[in-house]
Amino acid sequence: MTSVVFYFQVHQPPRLKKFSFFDTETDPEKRYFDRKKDERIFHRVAAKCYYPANETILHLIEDTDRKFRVTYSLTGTFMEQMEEYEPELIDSFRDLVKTGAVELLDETYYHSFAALWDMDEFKEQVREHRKKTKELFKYRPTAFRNTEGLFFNELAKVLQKMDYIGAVAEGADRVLAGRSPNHVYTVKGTDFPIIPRNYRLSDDVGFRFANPHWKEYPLTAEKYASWIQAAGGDVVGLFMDYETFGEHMWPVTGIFEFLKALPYKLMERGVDFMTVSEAFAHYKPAGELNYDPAVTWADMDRDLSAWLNNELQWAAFEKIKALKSLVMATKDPRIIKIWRKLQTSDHFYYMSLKYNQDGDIHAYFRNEAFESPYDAYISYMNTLAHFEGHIKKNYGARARQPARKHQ
Amino acid sequence: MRVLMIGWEFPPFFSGGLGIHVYHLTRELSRKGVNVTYVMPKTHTPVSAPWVRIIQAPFYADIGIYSLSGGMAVEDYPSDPLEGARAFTDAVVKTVTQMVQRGERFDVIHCHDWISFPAGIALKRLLNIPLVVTFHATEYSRTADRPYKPIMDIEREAIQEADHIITVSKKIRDEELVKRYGADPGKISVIYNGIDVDQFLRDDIPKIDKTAPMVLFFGRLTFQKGPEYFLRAAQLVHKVLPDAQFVVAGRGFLLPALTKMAAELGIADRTIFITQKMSETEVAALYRAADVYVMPSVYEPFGITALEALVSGTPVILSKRVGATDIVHHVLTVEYWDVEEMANKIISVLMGEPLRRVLGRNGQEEAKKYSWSWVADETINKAYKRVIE
Repeated sequence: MTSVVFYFQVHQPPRLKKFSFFDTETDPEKRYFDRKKDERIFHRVAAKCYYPANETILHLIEDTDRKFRVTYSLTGTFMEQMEEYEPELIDSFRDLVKTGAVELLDETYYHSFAALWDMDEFKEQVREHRKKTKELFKYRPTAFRNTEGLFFNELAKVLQKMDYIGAVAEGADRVLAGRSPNHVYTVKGTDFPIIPRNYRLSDDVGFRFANPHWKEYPLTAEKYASWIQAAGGDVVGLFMDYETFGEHMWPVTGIFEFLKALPYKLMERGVDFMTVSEAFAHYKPAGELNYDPAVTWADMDRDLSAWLNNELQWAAFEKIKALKSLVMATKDPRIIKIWRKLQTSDHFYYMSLKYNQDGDIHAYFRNEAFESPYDAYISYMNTLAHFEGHIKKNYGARARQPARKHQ
Repeated sequence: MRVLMIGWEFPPFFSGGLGIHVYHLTRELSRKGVNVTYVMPKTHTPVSAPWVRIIQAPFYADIGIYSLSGGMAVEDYPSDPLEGARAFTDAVVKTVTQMVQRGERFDVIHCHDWISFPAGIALKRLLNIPLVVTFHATEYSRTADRPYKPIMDIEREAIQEADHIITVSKKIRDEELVKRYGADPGKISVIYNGIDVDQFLRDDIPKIDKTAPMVLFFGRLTFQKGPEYFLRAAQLVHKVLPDAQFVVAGRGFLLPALTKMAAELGIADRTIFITQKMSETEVAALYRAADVYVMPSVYEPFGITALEALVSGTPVILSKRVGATDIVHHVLTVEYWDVEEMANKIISVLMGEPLRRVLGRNGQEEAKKYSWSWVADETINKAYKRVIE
């Protein structure tokens, strides 16, 4: 029997203001972050996606007597904005969790790439996420999903030590090397299991669903269910942004009707549903996958090139990393929090200069934040420069002390 | 293919993009085997170029439309510019009719901007030859929404009569011709300006010895080009980066007001006005020396100098009103009135690598594509071939 594992990524970044040297605001949090924009976007996406999609999923779970099962991960920055701007939405997610047919994954609170450069920082951000998930949902995740699907062999060892039973990762061609993505695999050099994302089938919904130039357009639930059945294997990992439903794909595209029909069409074909951890309990690994060099779920390249591919992105990443000791020496939770919010991967994504096939996707996500990659870079770097100056000026004595490892 | 082209500028007698456009377009057309005859007003020293036959109609621009010292500026319009246009039209029609009587033949007439339109329309009717008109600008925008109606009427008639229309940017097509003049967009092709790429990449361009980061404005000192916004932004930049030097290169009637303004803003000692006419090499050297080139135009149909600065490897900040923003991506853009944001961007470019390097390198690569050879191809394929059937 084939099982479908639906996993939805739920994320909102803390957006930056256009930095001005002539701004008279003295509070760094207020000066750097555009809370008004975050709030405006959150209300819109909540109305277009989160509420209706939650309602649809809840109905499907109840109507199928909990046979329909899904997995989510909510970033910490998302949960924070939800508490602040749409607290009723928390109840909506709680209702889903209460069904028992919904699993929540852990990830980095700040949707960051801390795993790339500092495992202590990474663990700290994961702990913060775990804490927030417990606080809002009284839930302790058992499996993991790293920011933007970023995965590499060493990460499996770290996650294993953190007591996770498995993770989801990208089923990139170069990792699978001709094998089917539709199985549980272990990560090379470990017995840590992962479920690879079936990117073709996932992107059929996530990217191509509403594209009238696509030869399979329009995609019906019937047709899609037949592809999944034909794909075979143990687990078909359909991982996508939750915002696909109603926000990336507007209701007029028929995306909700598609979602409402799909579980029944799959069940008719003998396909069932599992959450991520259930799949690990049920299916044995079919082999070993090598996740070096690192893989992500983005763009055609499935690598880090959306975030760290040009000189601007490298300079920005180096700068945020270099601030760690200065930031930690302040021992001021507000300063540390600002620094972590500046690590959110979206900031780097907006700086991408890739004008190829993926370019339009980049522009789509960037446009609400900045007009151009250069504008994104300018605001980010000016913000970091100001932040550094702010720390040195206000925490002079402490900031000059040798930094101790943050506990 | 024999083209009869009509305009009123040709280097060294020109004031803006039109003269440069015609100069390079005729050269590249002739390289592609197109036979071009260019009709323009008479000048005190005859104009010539080896690749094009230039006919100078016996009409002297002594009524102010055409000033031999530096070409025409909108602000220099005489009380009745139509008088000059009529005289020019008569002279051109007469000259061309005589040529045709002697047995000359043309396949297409191509006119540049309103002064040449009446002659083009008259000759089209007389000789039954298709007419192509290029709008480098319109009266509507040249005068910042205070158009002189008779000139708009001429432009409207040309839009009706022309077999095909060329504009140098999407902005002119959509926001002016279609919106203000009711033109049929199906009859308009957007063909951007090009630049003489090699001229700015030569090895022998002298290096300007400078001691401070340089912010460059280069253009006519008229309201249209927005030099006062440049100075206001400069004052803000000066607050953050006291070393920065501001260069205002160009001439125009605003010069006295701008020098006074620089003093009032407290940046007189950081601002250099370059008012002498510069050679091509000197201009190229200036672009290269600049750390950032700013074009704060209130109105700019295309903005050739933006491409020139880009191909010189210099980071560029453009007003969002600049037509070239349609085609260049590795630039910073700003609303011309938002001097604070203009200053933020100038400071950001001056402060840091790798931004300057990335903008400079990517901008240069992109600008290299826009050669005049490409413009000539576009003109042949999108306009000439379409009307010669």
